[in-house]
Amino acid sequence: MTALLVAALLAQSDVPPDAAGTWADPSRSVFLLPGSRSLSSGFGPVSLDGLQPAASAVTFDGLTLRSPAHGFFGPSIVQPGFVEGVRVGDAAGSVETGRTLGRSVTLLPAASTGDEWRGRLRLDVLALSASGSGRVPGLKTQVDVGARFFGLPALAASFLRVRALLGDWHLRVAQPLGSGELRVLGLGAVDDVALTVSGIPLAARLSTQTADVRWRSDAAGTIELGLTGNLDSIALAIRGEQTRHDVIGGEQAVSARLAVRPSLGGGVRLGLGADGTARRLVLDRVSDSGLAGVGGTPGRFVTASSSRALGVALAGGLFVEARDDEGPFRWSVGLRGDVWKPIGGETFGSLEPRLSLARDFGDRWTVSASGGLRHQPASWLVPVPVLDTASWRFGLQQAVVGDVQATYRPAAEHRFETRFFGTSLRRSLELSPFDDTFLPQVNLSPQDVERRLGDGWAAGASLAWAFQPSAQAWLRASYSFVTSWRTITFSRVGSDGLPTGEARASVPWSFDLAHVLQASGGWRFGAGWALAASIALQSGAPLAGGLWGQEQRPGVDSLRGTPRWVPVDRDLVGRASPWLRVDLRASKTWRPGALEVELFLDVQNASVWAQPTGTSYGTAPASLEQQARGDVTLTSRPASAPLGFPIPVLGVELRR
Amino acid sequence: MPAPPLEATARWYAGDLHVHTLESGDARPSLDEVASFAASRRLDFVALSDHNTSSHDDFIVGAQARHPRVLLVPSVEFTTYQGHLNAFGASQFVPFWLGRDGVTLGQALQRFDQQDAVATINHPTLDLGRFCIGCAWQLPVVPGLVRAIEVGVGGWDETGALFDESAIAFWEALADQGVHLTAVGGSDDHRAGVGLNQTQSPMGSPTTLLYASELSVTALTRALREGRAVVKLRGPDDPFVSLTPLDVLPRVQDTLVGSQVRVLATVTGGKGHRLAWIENGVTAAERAIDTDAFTDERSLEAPAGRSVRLRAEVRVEGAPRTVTSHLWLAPDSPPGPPVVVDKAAPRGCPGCGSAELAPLFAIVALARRRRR
Repeated sequence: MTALLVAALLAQSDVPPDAAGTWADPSRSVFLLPGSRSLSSGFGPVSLDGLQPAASAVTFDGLTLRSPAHGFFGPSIVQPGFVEGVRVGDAAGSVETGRTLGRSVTLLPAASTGDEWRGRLRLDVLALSASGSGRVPGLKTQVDVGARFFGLPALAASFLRVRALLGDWHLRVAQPLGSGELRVLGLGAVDDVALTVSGIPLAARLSTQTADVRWRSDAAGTIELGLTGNLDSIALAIRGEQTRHDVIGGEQAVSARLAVRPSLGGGVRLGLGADGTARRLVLDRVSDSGLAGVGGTPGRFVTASSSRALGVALAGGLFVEARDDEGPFRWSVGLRGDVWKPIGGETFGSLEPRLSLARDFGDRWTVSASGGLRHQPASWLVPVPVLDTASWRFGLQQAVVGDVQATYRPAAEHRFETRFFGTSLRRSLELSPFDDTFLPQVNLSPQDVERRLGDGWAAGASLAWAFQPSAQAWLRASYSFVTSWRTITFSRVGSDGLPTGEARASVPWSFDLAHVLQASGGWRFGAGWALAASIALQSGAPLAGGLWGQEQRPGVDSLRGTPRWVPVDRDLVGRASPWLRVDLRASKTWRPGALEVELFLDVQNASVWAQPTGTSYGTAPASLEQQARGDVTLTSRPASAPLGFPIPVLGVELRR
Repeated sequence: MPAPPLEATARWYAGDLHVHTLESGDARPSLDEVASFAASRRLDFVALSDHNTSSHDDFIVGAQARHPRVLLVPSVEFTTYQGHLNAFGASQFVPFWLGRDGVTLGQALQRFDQQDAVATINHPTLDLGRFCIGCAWQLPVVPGLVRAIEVGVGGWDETGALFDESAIAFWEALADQGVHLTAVGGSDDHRAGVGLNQTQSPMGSPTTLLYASELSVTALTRALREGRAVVKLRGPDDPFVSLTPLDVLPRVQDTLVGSQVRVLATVTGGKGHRLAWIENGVTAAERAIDTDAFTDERSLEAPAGRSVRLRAEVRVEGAPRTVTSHLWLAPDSPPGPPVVVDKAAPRGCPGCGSAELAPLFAIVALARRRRR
C-alpha cells in the first residue's frame, strides 16, 4: 500500500485528499505540485510553467471543460466526490490533445463503485452537495449523479444585499454496448452574481452546459467515437437607478471526434484520429431606460434591444501517433494538424510534431524527455467561452516546448524527482482583462494585433521529494524555479508621466515565479483523527503591471509643477516582496456501520499573510492652498491581495 | 461684437461638443492642448464644456489667436445630481443647484436660451450608480428649450458600444412625444487624449458634423437648431451619410412643411456596410452599400394633421456607426403630433462576420475607472 502510494509520478498529484489547503477537493491538489502557481493566494486557476492558466486545457473523463472554474477563478465545476486526483501532462503531451500551448491538466475520475450503490452528502461552509453512484441492477448501467449549491455565498450575499447564486450538476451514465461502452456525460454550472464594484451596480451570469456522448471499445485496439454539445453564455449587466443595460454573449457548439488505436504488435500502438467543431456566437443586448414624462404625460421605460448572430467558427484537427508504453523504454512520436476558420477571418492552420521518451534504468531510475511544437489562438488569461472563439481571428500563438525529468526511487518510502523545462514562445498574444488596454483589445484591427504580438520564453526547474514512511504519515516537499519573460512593445514614460516613445524590450511576465519552497505533510492518528499542514514560501511577482501592480517612481506634473507618481518602464521594474502561506487541516472520521462520517476543518492561510501585489501609491491629503503652492507629498504603502485573512472551511461529509 | 468666422465656406464642419479643460477641476488639459489635439484629430471645432463654469472664456481669445484653424466654442456642462446638459455657446454663469434657493431647470434653460446657447442632454442613459453621479438624465425634457441630445456617448470603442443604442432609443422615444432634438455626440474627453484609460474616449470619438454657412459659433448654433447634424459614433474615419430633400419645401428649423418629400441619402466611405432608413423610429428599409459614393432615395409622406420623421444610419456589422438627425415633415406649420409606430425589437444582421464583443466587456472595464 505504501509503495503504491508513492509509485505514482509526482506529476500526478498523489497528494492525499486530506492535504491541508485543498478543502477536501482533489482538484485543488494541483496547487501543491512543483512549479505550479495559483492566480492569487491559493485561489483561482493554476498557471504551469510560466504560462497563462488559459494555456492549460482541463479535461475530465475525456471531455475538455470550456469553463473549468466557477466564475473563471473559483472552485472547479466538477464536484470533489467525482475526482480522485489530478494529472499534469509533460510539456509536449500526446498529439491527441492540442490547441493549447501548455501542459494539460486531467482531473482523474473517481473509480467506479461496481455493483454497490454509494452516496455522498457533504455540507461545508461553502457549499451543499449530494451525489450518488451505482449500477442499475440487471442492466449493468453505471450511473453517477450529483448536484451542488454554494450556500454560504448566497447567505452572505443576502445579508450584504447582493446576490451570489452558484451551482453545478453532474450526470454520468455508462452502458456496455456491443464490444465497448457507451458513456453519456453531462456537466453544467451556473453562476449568478450581483454586486457593486467601484460604485457601479453590476450583475453577471455565467452558464456552461455540456453533454458528451462517447462510445469506446478496447477490443482489437481502441476505437472511440464522440459527440459533444456545449451551451455557454456570459452575461453582464449594469443595474442603475433608472436604466438597465444587459449584454449577453452566447455560444452554441457541436463537436465530433473519432480515434482508432490499433496495436501493431511488439507493444507498439498506432493512433489515428480526427475531430471537428462548429461554434455559433450570438450577441444579445437589452436596455431599459426611465424617461420622465413630457408635457404632463406619465413617465415610462424606453426599451432598446438587438440580437445579432455573429456567425459560426469552425475548427478541425487530425493526428497520427505511434507509441510504445511497455517495457523499460517507452516512446511516442506523433504529428498533429489543426485548421481554424474564425468568424469574419481568414482560415489558418498549424502542424505540431511531438516526441516523448522515457527510459527505466534498473528499478530506481527513470529519465524522460519530451519536446514539440504547440499552437493556441489568442488567449485571455483564463478560458472564457464566447470570447475565446471570437478571438480566433487574431491568429495563433506558437511555442516550442520541451522538458526533461529524472525520477529516483532509492527505497519504497522515498521518491525524488527533478524536472527542467523550457518554452520558447515564438509568437504570443496573451491578453488579459486586467490590462489597461483591455477594452480596445476586444476589437483589434490587424495593425493593433501586430503591435500587441510578442515573443518570449519561460524556463525553470524543480526538485521534489515524496516520503511515505508508513500508511499513517506522508510528506511532499519541493523547490521550484520558474522564470517567464516576454518581448513586447510598450510606451516609455518620462518624469512628467507622459509617453516619450515606444520601446520593444523583454518584460518579466505575470507568471514569473522565481522561487517556491513548498512542503505538505500529514499524519493519521488512531481513532480516525488526522492532521495535515502545507507551507509555501515564494518570492514576489514582477511589478510590470497587468495582473500585478506596476512599480512607480517620483516624477513631476508638467502642468502644476507638483510631485506625482509616474510608472517605471516595464522592463526596469522590481518585484513584490516574498510571502509565506501556511494551511492547516484537522479531521475526524467515524465509521458507524456502512457509513463513513468525516468532520474536517481546513484553514487556508492560517499564517494570516496576504500575498503582496505591489505598492499602493498616492498623495497625502492637502488643502487647496497647499495644492496651489505645489506642496504635495507623495505616499506609498505595500499593497496586497484582499484575501489576507484565514479562510476556514468547515465541513461534514457522509459517505456510504 | 462677435468674432469673425474662422472660415466662410458653407460645408460640413467636424467637431466635438463635449470636451473639458483644466477649468473643470477634474480635467487636465489647457486650452492650447485641447486645440492642438483637436487639430490632430482633424476637427474644425470643439465645445469647451467645463463643469458649471465659463472661466475658460478668459483664455479663449488668446488661445484662439494661437490656433486659428480650430474654433473654440464657449460652452458649459450644466452638471446636476439628476442629469448633465451642455449649453453650446453659453458664456455666462447659470446657477446649477436645482431645488435650492428657488433654482429650477426651467429657469436655467431660459437663461441659456437668452444667451442663444443650445441645450444638449448629455449621456442620457449613462446610469452607473454612485460611480457617475447624476450622469443619466432624470429630469423632465422641456421642449423648445432643450434642442439636442447626445446619442454618441463616448467613442464606440470605449463606452459607445454599450450606451449608444439605448441613447438612440431614448432620443426616438422623445421624438415619439413630439420633442424635436438634434442628434449629437460628445467624447467627454478630460485629458486631451493623453493617458486615457480603456473607458475614456479621445476628442473626436465620436465626431459630430454640423452643416453651417461658416465656421463660427453663431452658424454652428443655427445648424444645431435646424437639425443639420450627423454623428460618427466611433470617430473621424467613420463613413459619412447626409440627407438632402429633393423637393423644394419651406423649412422651419428641422421641419419641412409639406405632405410629401423625396429624400436623397448620400454615403461616402461606407462601401461594404449597410444604409438603413429609420422612419418614425422604426427601420423601414436597408440597403447594401456597394459603391463609394453611394446614394439612395426614399419618399416620406405625412398624413393630415400629423408630423413624421426620417433619418438614416450607416450600419457596420449590424450596429449603428453613423447617424443623421431627424428630418421632420409636417403638412402644417406648426406641425401636429407625430406619428407613432409600434416598435418590434430590432434585429441585427445575420452572418455579419466579425465578433463585436466590446459592449460585453465595456461593463467590466467601467469598473476600473470613469470620470464625467
